[in-house]
Amino acid sequence: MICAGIDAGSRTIKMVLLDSDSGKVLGRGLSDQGVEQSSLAQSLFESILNETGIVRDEVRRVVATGYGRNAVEFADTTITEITCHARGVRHLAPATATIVDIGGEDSKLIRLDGNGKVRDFAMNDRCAAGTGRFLEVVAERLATSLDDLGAMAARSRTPAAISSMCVVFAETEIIGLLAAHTPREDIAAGVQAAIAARVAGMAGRKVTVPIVFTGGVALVSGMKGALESVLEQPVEIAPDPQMTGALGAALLAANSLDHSPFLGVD
Amino acid sequence: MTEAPRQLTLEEWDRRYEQLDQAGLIQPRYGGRLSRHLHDGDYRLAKLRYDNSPAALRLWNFLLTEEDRLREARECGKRVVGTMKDLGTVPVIAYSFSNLVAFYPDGAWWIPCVMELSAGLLEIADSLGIDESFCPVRAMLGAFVTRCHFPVPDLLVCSAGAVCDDFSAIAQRLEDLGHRILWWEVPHRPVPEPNEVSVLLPGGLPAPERQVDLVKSELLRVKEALEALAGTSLDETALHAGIKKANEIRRCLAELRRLVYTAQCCPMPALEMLIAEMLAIHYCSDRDECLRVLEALLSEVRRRIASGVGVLGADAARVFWVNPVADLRAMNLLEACGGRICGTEYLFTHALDAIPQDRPPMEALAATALADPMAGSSRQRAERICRDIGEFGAEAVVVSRIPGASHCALEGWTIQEVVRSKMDIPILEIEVPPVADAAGPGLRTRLEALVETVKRRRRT
Amino acid sequence: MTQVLYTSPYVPAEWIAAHGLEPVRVTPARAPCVGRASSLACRAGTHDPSTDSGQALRTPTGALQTYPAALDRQGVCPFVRNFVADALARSGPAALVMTTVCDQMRRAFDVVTGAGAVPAFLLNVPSTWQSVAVRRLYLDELDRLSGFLVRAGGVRPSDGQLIDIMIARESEPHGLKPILPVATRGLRTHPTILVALVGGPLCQEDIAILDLVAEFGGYVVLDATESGAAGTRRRFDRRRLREEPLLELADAYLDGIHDVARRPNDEFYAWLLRELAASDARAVIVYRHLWCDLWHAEVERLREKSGLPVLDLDTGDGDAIGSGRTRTRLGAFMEMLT
Repeated sequence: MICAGIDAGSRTIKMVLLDSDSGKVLGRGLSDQGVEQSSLAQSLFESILNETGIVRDEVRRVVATGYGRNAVEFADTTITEITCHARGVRHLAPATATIVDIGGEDSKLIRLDGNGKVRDFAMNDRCAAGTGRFLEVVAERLATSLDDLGAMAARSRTPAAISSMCVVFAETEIIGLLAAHTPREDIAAGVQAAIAARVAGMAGRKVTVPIVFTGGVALVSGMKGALESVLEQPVEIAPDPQMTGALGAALLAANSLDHSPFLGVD
Repeated sequence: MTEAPRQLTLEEWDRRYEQLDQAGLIQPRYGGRLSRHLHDGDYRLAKLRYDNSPAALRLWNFLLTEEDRLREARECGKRVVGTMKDLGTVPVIAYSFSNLVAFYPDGAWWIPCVMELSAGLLEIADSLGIDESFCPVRAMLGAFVTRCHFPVPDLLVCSAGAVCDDFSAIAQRLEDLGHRILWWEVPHRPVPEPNEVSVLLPGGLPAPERQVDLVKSELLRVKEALEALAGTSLDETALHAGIKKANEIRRCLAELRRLVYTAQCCPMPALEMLIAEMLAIHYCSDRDECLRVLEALLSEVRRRIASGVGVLGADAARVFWVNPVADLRAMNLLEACGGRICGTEYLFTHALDAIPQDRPPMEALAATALADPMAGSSRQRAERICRDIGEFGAEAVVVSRIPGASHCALEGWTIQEVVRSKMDIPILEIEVPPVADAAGPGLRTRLEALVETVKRRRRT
Repeated sequence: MTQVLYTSPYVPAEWIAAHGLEPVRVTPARAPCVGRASSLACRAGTHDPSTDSGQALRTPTGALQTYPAALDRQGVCPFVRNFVADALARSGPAALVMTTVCDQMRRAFDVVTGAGAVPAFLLNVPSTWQSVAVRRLYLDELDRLSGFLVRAGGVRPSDGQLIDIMIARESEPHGLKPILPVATRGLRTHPTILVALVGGPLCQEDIAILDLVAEFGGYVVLDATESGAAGTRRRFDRRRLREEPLLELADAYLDGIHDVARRPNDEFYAWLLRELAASDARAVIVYRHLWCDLWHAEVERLREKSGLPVLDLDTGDGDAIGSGRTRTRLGAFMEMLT
């Protein structure tokens, strides 16, 4: 039987098709989010079905998650991204104790118990300075790409101190730093450290290892190191880190079916 | 080895230090090169500019060696009292005992600035659930956890009631970490009702007499706790003597402020004046030496005024500054923008006004504590600011909003409204984080614009 | 009857009523944080742009109330803003009673009196509770409040009149109905997930949290917010009431209210842990207003002390119950408990 998980995030829509009998991922895809969230999700779904040669009726159950989950009209049910990320990461790295997820517009810290279930979580979506959005703004200001931002930060010797809580004011600070001839490398490294510090702020005193890093920001080079530095613990990037929410949604869809031979009961 | 007043970088101070040393400069035990404090991690010092007088050198060395003094005091058998929030009253009682020293753990709010965030104190506060939506005094929690910046006090005393919510919440969190606190009430200070018996507090503020009685009874609880800690009772004579000493410091500071803020040519920079004013609260853990440090500074100021010299041009815009800044560099920045400080209100005017010596000592201290600008209305605070603006001849006001402080959002508004209506001078509101490098250009633009406004107004 | 508006649980409704005035506890409505004044005025169709020290709201009776624009500044607690805006938008209140329980409300009093919109009184509520002198402060404050109420048109009551009012209102704790219709006992066999709501005062719309929790398979079994059980005075001691009514009134409020802002706040936690145990709540939702330091600082402590899963639900003006961020948090929390 085939199940689908759709993570309708604030910046991108991610989708996974899963064989619930074998646990094998049959297809995956990603598209930009937009105003017409429902039709965008539908288009992505159809595109993946076409690519994989699977017909719609074969998909027994669809779970939507993410910020735009309620706009996915063809989903059978919705589950929050916290639960889905936890499920996805548990599948990929069963021993995970802590998940750091940094997406386009929010960041999350999720603690798992010994069985991989959510024990506690914290979310930041008030301060864009702790999210991928901040990196995009900075990359634009530094006239570079997100891909090159990490390499630039790696060349820094003295990361700049970015103090502002708000991305708008932080952007002003960056303009000020540029005007003061602060090396771009130091600004880039300072921004990465600021994002990592905000995530660490959510972590509280106890950050249990293993720590797994998910979300689109995990793909930005240097962010893993910035997190390791502030958390003072090793951090592993999840395989395909943008897709863990969608994968988790697909797994939870499979779990909700009567039989799920390889998944156990959630 | 006198040279014209000017501001030096740390590097320049090292060279001047060599010259002074060779010329036979006599220094206190804690003296030495300023740059040596860099090795303790006080990196911010490398980015500040300092007054070039030996008196300023002594002031800085006195400030930056407080931790050593506290540890020495404990090794000598003295008991250490951590007094929090009241800003200036409890230390007067504590220093009336010969075997107690008091300090403000609140002072840890400067550590993230002075150590340029390297001590990790704010991160510890974050981890305790006290994030950057609280004011920078949250660094105090980190200092207690690391035990690196001051000895853990034998007794912690904290005022509650009409204080800021940030501090109250942070102190409660501290108590939860296992540091028991003796809380005492400082009530909100209302304007007395028409039929109420009222008294005048230091600074000329009226208050209901019953409130002075309440604070007195609360301070008596504090005194009893201090007596228990010291193992000796405190009689009125000793307390009188303590108040007298405190007033010597306050009078010295009052004269220093009057001279510096009214001089035609600024004789002492803003940064040194900020440090000096703060001494009124905590004495840097040595009350007698505190007075000597301030007297040396006062002599230097008198000498400069008599010679008609100063550290800044005579045309510097005269600015009244409201609230302390978390980044010391902001004070340098004002001067770099063409301004000078002519009056301050750093939230502890009650620690600058003389304690009444014609009243029973505990009553006098209660009246002083109740005169705390934070205990009264923002309007009363603003009116005192207006009075001092008039006294010092300030031409503009900077209200420095404390990041995260719960009182600033509305208080700043009221202060601006009152000052605008009464003084007709430009007002600028800014916010200064603990390390304001990145915010520097934005702050500079604002301060330069304020100075330009002042100078344009002079021409019209 | 002339209305006296207030919102803090420390304001004794009986005392106001005994002065012949009508105590009205304001549970404010939420409004968008941007252009709050304009939106209120526009709602009533009464926006008057002629004033420059704030926005003007013309009440149905024609009185012009000035909404202080200061309240729209960043960093102002949404509850404080909403309370002041709501109170000033009402028609014909004789007076406003605010309290010193938090910094923001204390400063808002300065702003309200500065705007001169309505006669206002600031009731001094002590933070500590250990000393007799501090308890005396609250009693003295009630005396001072009496002077204000008299100036607002009331008459200082005799002991007998106060006793009558206290007895009459006894069945209706401090003259208020709790905002949340929560049954606090007898739900041990309830099949759903029982959760407790803890935190600051609630706004009108916050009643929707009951439905939202239910939608996710839960049930609010304890309302320990300031608007609920935490902010409720104890029952009057009938014997003492007849002997020393004002003293009994003061003690009923000081002893009955369990306040996280007290220093130290051990008593609040002792009470809360008892209530949590009695309610069989499996988890706690901390419901707090953005910029409220007093509650924000308690979230970690509550987690440590209760040993229960805790959801930190901070709300600004734009975060009505049912908004995306609230739904996601609450949904994830309930999924976690399932």
